[in-house]
Order: sequence, then C-alpha cells, then structure tokens
Amino acid sequence: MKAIEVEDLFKSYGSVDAERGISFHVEPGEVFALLGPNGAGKTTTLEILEGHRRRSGGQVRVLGMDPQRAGRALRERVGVVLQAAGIDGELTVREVLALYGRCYPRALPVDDLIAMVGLQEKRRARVKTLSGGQLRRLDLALALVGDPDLIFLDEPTTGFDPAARHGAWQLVRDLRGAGRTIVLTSHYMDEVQQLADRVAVIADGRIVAEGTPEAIGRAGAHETSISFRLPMSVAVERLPARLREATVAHDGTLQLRTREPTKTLLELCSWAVEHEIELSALTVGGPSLEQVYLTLTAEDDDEQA
Amino acid sequence: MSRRDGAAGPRRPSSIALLSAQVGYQLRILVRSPLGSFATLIVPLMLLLACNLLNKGQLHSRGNIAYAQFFTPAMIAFAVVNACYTSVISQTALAREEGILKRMRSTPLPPWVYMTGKLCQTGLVAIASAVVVVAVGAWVYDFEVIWSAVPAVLVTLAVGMFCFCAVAMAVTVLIPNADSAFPVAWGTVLPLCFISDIFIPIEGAPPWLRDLASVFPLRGFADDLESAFNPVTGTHTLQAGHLELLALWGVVAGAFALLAFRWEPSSGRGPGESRAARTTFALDRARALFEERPVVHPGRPHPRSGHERD
Repeated sequence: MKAIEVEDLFKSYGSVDAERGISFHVEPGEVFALLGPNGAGKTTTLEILEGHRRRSGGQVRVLGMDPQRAGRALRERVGVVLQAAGIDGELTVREVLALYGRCYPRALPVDDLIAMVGLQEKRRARVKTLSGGQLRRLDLALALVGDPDLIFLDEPTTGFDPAARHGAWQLVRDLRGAGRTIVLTSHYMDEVQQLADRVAVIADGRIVAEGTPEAIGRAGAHETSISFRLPMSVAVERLPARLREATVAHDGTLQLRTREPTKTLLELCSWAVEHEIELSALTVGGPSLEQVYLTLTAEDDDEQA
Repeated sequence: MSRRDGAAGPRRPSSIALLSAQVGYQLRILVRSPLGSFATLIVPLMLLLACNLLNKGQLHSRGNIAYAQFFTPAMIAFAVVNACYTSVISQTALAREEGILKRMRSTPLPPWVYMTGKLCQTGLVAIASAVVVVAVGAWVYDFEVIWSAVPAVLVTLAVGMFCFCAVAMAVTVLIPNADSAFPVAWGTVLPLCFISDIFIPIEGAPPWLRDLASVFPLRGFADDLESAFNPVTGTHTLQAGHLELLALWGVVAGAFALLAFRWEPSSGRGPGESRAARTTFALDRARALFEERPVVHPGRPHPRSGHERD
C-alpha cells in the first residue's frame, strides 16, 4: 500500500482554482518534497492531505484512509509541522509536549523529544520566551510527539539558523532511516536536494515536473549556465543586446542560460576584451535545480499568460 | 525511535484522562494570564463595590430591601456572563486566530473533548467568581444568603452558564479576526446589562425597552437570581418562562455553533472559500464529534478504503 495516493485533485475557492488536477503518490519510507512558489498550491495540497481542508474533486488516500473522513484514526498516525506555531505562550516547552503527547496512544517520552530537537536548556521556559528558531524546533517536536508513521513538514526550517537547519536535516534523515514517510514543502532548493527522494514541482495548481532532484536537474541539462560579475562602473545595459536579453541578475551575479555555450562565451569574452572589462567570478556549468525550477515555474506562467 | 510492528498497539487514552488534562491546561493558561484572571474574577467584584458605593439606603421598588441585596445577585449574573460569554469569545477567537485550535485539530484529540474542557474551565471560573461575589457581598455589605433559594439558584446558574457559553461560541463563529473579539463581546454585553437590571434597577424605563430586554436571556437570568435572594418579594423557587428562554437560546446558539464552528484562523482560509463549502465541512466535523472512528492498523485494510469521488 502506498503511503499517499493523490489522483486528479481539484480544489476551488469560488471561481478561483487552487488545484487543477494534481496526481502523485508517495511510497512508504520515502521523503517527498512539494516545491513551488508562494500561492502555487503547496500548502493547500498539504492541508487536504492532513484533513484540514475539503477537496473539490479527485481521490486522496493517506495511509489507506480518506483524510476527509478518517478523523482520529488517521491523526493518531500523522504528525504535522504547521506554518504558524499555534502554541499557547504561557505553557512551558515541557508542558506543551506533555499536553499534546497525552492525545496519542504511543507518545514518545517528552525528555527524549526535547533532546532530539536540542531544546534541553529551554525545557522549563515559557513558549512566549522562545526565539523564532526555537519555536520551530518545538513545532518539530510536536509533530513527532505521537511517534507518527507519516510526517507533514510545511516549510520546516524557515527561521532556523544554519546550525539548527542542519540539525533538522539530520533529524529528517534519522526519521527516514527509522522508516517514517515524510512529505515536506520547502522554499530552499538545497534543502530539497539534501533531503528529498522525489520532488514534485507545483506551479499554478498543477504539477509541472516530478522525479528525483537529480532527474529534474537533468531536465535542464541541455542548457549551460554562464555566470559572471561586471565591475561596478559597468551597467548591464552595455552588454550586447542578444546577451542582455538572456541575462538575469541574482545577488549581484549575472547569469546567462544558453544552448550554444561556445558561441555565447566567445561573444561575451570578445565583448569584454574589446571594452577592456574584467569579468570576475566567471564560471561555466550546468544549471542548478534552482535554475531549472525557476524555468519550469516561469514556463508555466508563460503558458497562463 | 523504534518502528511499530503493525500489531494491535497501546490503547487510546481514555476520554476522562484527556478531559482532565484539557481542564488543567485551560485553567493553567488562565491563571498565568494576569489580564484574563483580572477580567474574569476581579471586574465583577469591582462593579459590586462601585454599585454599592454609589447607591446607599433601600430599594423601594423591591420591597425596601438594602441595595446590596439587589446588587449582589445582579453581580452574580454579571460574573457568569463575564466568564461564560465575554471571556469565552475573547479566548476562543484568539486561540483560533493564533492557530491553537488548528493545531489541536491536527491531533487525535476529539473536538468534543477540547470543547468540553473549555466549558468545564469556564464553569469552574464562573462558579469561583460568583462565590467570591457572594462572600464579599456578605462580608462587606451584609448580603443575606437565603439558603432555601440555593437549589433554585444552582439550577438557574447551570442553565445560564450553558446558555451564555453556547451563545458565545455562536458569536465567535461570526467574529472575523482576533481584534474584533473584545469589542464585539463587550459591545454586545454592556448594553444588555444596562437594560437587564444588572447595573441599576430600571423600573422607570419605557415599556418597549423592557420588552426588548425580555427577548434576550440576560434579563430573565438576572431577574431569577435577584428574586431568589429577595427576602421580601422573592419567590426563592424556579420561575417558569425564564429558564425556558435561557434553554432555548442555548440550544439554538449551540446548534449553530456546532454546525458552523471554525478551527482554522481566518487568515488560513482560501480566497473566496464559500460559506456553503465551509458549512458542508462543518457538518462533517459535527458528525465526527459523536463518532468513534475505528483504528486502522498498518497492513489492515480500512473499511472505507474503496475509492470515492467527490
């Protein structure tokens, strides 16, 4: 039995279609990522799988149950990390985990959970005194408190500092190693590349690509990425028109996507030598998953336009 | 973190254990919130002192009883409304908008256990608040407790608490965001208090105003309590009509709240999500309140595992 089966999922809000025929499945023990821009439908999909939201059409099975009808039987086997914390600030970390743990037939020991997410020093602290990152770690502990078979992580490391982020990644790997099935949404491509066995890219309520992160990355392998920096005194507008049109700026670095790398590189370098401009940080390589993702979601926007 | 084997595992926690944990949790967060404790326990007491300070002597329209004999039961009514109506609206709307209700709904905790826990906490606070009012009234203003009226008073209090909690839950459904909760709660209860003999006996009010007040549950509730403790003109027994009105308000408001209650914050709703769609979902959830779902163990087919299309 598959952990999750989604077939032709539709969700409408009045005249607005948030999901437009989404289909995917998740195998037991797999880490599956939903990737997409804000408003693409990731959280709506997750909330339908969790049973928080009613679908407008299609079939959904989570651990063999319909999340709209399964109620307590499903919730006992599912852990959820929500985007908003939703925890009473007046309770201590330990009290929160004990309170929620009581709801489950197989709750994990509170102190083990606290150690698992690295909140030992805050076990007696009120929730309202926790930092954003600590709150997210408590959120993660709450998702695990019932020793779930399936865990939904909605942007699980947003707000984490780098160390906490790597800690959370390790925790996800440990959970996967222990046979848990994990469905996560993320804005971070590196997170998806690090954690996910398979990825579905959602844009405008549809899946535009699905596969392993490597396979999706290979989808853009016919293109080459050339990145470089211009001196401060040189405006992008000075680039030859053909190159300028293919260039996107990202954190001060210019990136060119081309299917003719030799010709494009020659053109760029000739222009730079002719104008005595030094191109710093010049690199040539295949596109990252992030670039492929941006292309996929942009292509979808173009189709809609 | 051991992997489960799929065989019949540990038993579900009992409803009693879950309920007692919920009541403890609700009381703990109330005690730790100074503003909540103040509003619920102290405000009725301050009003009792203020009303008695401003009105000395005897109340001729009620058989020449001392003002304290009128204001103390009036403040019991206010304490109950304060705990069961205004506080429930504020706390529930805030919990919903902060995502606390949604998180609770993500757990296997049956919704009725959460709600009952909340109502038990509210009932305990209302009773504590009423007892404090009676104690201070008796100690400071020689309020006379008529013990023969206590059974009727307890029944009235129980029906009143049910009524005001149900109305509060219904009003919470209609409140769009956390900022509106406090103004709506106090904006509705204060005018009713003024026309329902809570802050001052309104014998001189025009008949239409008294008729209007009689439509709402607070007037009859306050009337019953004041009459029960009036040693001159009081009945000391249950009065027909008032309790029925309280019960009717409670049942209608409770049914509405049950059908339309939202666990998700308003910000989490989809754009233009229709009221009809939410009502349908609310109906499903209302049914789930009373249904114990079978536990499906890994590897065992679920009774409803056949594919169904919406």
